[in-house]
Amino acid sequence: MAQFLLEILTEEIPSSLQVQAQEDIKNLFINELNKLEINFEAIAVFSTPRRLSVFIDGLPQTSADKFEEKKGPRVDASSEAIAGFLKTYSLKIEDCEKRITPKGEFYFYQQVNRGGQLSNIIVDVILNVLLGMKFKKSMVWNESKIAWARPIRSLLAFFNENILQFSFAGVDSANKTAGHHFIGNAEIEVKSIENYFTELENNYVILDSQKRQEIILNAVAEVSKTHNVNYIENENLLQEIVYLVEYPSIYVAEIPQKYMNLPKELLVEIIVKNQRYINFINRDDSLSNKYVIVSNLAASDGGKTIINGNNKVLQARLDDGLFFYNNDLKTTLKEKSQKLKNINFFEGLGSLDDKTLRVVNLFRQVFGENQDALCEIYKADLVSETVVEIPELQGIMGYYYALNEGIDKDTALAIKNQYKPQGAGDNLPENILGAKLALLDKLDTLIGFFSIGKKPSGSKDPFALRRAAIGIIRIIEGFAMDIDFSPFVSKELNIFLNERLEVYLGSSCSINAIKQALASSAAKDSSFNINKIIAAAKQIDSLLKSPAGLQVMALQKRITNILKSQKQAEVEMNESLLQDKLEQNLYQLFKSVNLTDSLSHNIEELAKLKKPLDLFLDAIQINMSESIEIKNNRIKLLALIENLCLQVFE
Amino acid sequence: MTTEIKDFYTIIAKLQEFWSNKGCCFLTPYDAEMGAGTFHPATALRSLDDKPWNAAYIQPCRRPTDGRYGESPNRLAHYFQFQVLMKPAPYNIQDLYLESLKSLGIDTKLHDIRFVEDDWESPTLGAWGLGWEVWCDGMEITQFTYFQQMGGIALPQTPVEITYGLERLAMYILGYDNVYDMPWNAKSGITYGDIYLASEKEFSAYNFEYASVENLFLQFEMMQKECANLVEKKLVHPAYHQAIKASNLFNILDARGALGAAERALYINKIRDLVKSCCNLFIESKR
Repeated sequence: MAQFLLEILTEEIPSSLQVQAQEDIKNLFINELNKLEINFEAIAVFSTPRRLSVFIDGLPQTSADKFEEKKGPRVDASSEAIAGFLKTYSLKIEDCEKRITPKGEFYFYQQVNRGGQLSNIIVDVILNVLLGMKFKKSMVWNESKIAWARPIRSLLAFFNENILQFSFAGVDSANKTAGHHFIGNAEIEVKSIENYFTELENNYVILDSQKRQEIILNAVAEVSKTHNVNYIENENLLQEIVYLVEYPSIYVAEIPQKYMNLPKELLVEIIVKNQRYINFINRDDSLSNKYVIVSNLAASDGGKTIINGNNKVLQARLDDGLFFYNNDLKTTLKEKSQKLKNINFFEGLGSLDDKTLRVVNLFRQVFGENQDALCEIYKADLVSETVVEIPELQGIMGYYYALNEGIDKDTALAIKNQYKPQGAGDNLPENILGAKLALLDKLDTLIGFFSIGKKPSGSKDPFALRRAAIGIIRIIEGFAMDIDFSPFVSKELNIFLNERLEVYLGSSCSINAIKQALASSAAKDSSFNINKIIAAAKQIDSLLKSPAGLQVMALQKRITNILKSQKQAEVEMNESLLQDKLEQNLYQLFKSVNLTDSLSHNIEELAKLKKPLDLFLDAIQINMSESIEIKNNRIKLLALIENLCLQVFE
Repeated sequence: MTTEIKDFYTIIAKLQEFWSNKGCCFLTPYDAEMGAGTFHPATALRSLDDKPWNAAYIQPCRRPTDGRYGESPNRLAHYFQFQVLMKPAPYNIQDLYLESLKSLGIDTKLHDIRFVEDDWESPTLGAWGLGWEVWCDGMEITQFTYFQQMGGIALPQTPVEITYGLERLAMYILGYDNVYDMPWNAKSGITYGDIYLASEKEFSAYNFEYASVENLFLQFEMMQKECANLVEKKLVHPAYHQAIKASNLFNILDARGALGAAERALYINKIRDLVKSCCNLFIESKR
């Protein structure tokens, strides 16, 4: 059995592209090897900012020749057709054989894919794989005009002890690699596959991203323990950092006290987003002044220089934050909101100021409330320097500005929560006023975009209208808001919201229940009350899942199964033809069923039929009935019961 | 950091010496106001053809919106870039760059140097490239870009552009928290603030408050017409000079808050069209 190794050494490739590249190169190798019917036992791919490495174990030493028969045109086909076939496979007519088949005489060609020493074949595999690699963003850097995420600077490949020779992107392969950019050897001669892994380890390169992640998480856990704080988990940040370093080294630093009074969210944005540091919270949920720098360098001074430098940078950033924040506190939200007239909400939908005015009206119409004061200021933070600089803090900064100028907490919270919930994992607004504001703000967005014909189509939803709709539904459900939307939404928007409602309820209710809830809402009157529909769907769903409901479902299913294979005669059910005690009993009970408007009552009623039906069907086989009349009569009885079920559920 | 480097001037001198020794022509700054050293014809125009070209220069840059009336210790509306352009990009350009840091006394075994993803794009130049911001202990000290396109034209050779933000780099090397306290050259006793603080304050007032919007729009239109006319006369460099000036006028209009979002996009397009026509003419003239 043989082993294979490939390393592509590059200049630093972005974190985000490495994960995809790992996956892609693995699949390309698997495909290429499958095509040649070469088996292997395992394949592993590793990525760091500077290298992408593939290790394959359990390859054969040689591969067999592979024959593939290509069928050509008929012998008497036009000369163009024959020439075309020859051209496709670069053949001469002598290379082909003629063979008579049941469909006539045809040309055939035996294509041979030469097997042989795998060490020779594998070079072609490498080149096909390299040519097949595509990056979301790539560049050219030399005459080869090969595109890669960043320039390739060296290539190394082994098949067992053989060093493989090839050229790609103007680079000749060699048994050379490089260690860590700053503390490893710049040129390492690699003697074998095994030697490659040990050399990298000795030269401060941790090839395996899992190991790098472990190192970081262990260090973070230790910091948490030492300082009695909790690590703020951030999966995206962690993944990014793991692929930004070859040799993660962790240093703990402190945020100077004078910045600790800045809003927590502002601090976190600056620290995490700009600087990619890891943050902690204290036991009381306040932000810890400790932060962790994941550097790429085990520095000889223990990181003193690195900590100093990073602290300085962070301070400069925090100074900027402080500067913006203090400036923002100089004007009131009301003053800021004057500028909303100058900011377009969307072409055809006016300015942000226009939007807030529409929400004023919606507050009146939907909730019968006067919220003019709130609406005047709820978007004002968008023109603040802090939000212009860090847009992710929209709403949150408005909350702090509001508190700062003495606006009541309820209003401030509403401002903070106006964008919630953003996506499935996000929380609902924290207070009722915030829920109403978030709902109406989204409703206005939907009404607006639908009015100018910008509704989502297929997978395209550039204005995140589906998310807005789900947000509305979740708020209504969470706050049990009984609102009739029919005066506000167009037919089209109503249908769109219904579709979203189906998707949303689909995770907890059966399709049957949802459809019935929607249908019964539409049948009742022209109102469109999402809360009622949700409640109905849930009620129907739980009824269907109750003991009685399950019995009725089973009953209906048993009857439907039988009726599927039977032809129903065009006759009335005739009571006198009911021969058996069991079927007479069933019919009596059927007659006694008393349906009302209440679904739960009706289900209870129908459930009474379950046992007698089972007794009847267990004892008597319909097909074995004494006469055709009796058989048809029995089928008719079952059909009557089925109709009753359908009546209840529709 | 090192005892040898004590002032702003020495950092410039070191970089100049370093890149000259690597075969770059050390040029003078371009004598028109611009937002970034990339606008210098030695970069923007010389990137376009397939002839080898290695150059380095300092370029004073104006970014009116970054003005802080001299109150921010590190944000400036007028600052200096040290720019290197090498075409084709040498295969060991990363190593050369790291060597240049060493010449400035930055020990890469003590400082955490990182090449952090940066997809560079200049909408006004119709240019894009891939590369990095280079971080030193978490601070961005350099833009490092392999140009792919300039003036909307795919480049026949790949130039690499290295741009050092001189003030930031110097503050870091010299250990100053406030740019204005930094010595310009130690022997003179003159600080950066002695030279630039007053103008920084005044230009902030000009850019944000007093620049005549009406005049700026008028001038922009003049430059636009002049550029188009000169392109017609096939005078590449004078035409491109007008495009640079138009771009600077746009930057001041932007700082004045005179452009709405849609209008802003429109003006960016106007400048890009001027630059494109100059670039096309440059290519044509080389044939």
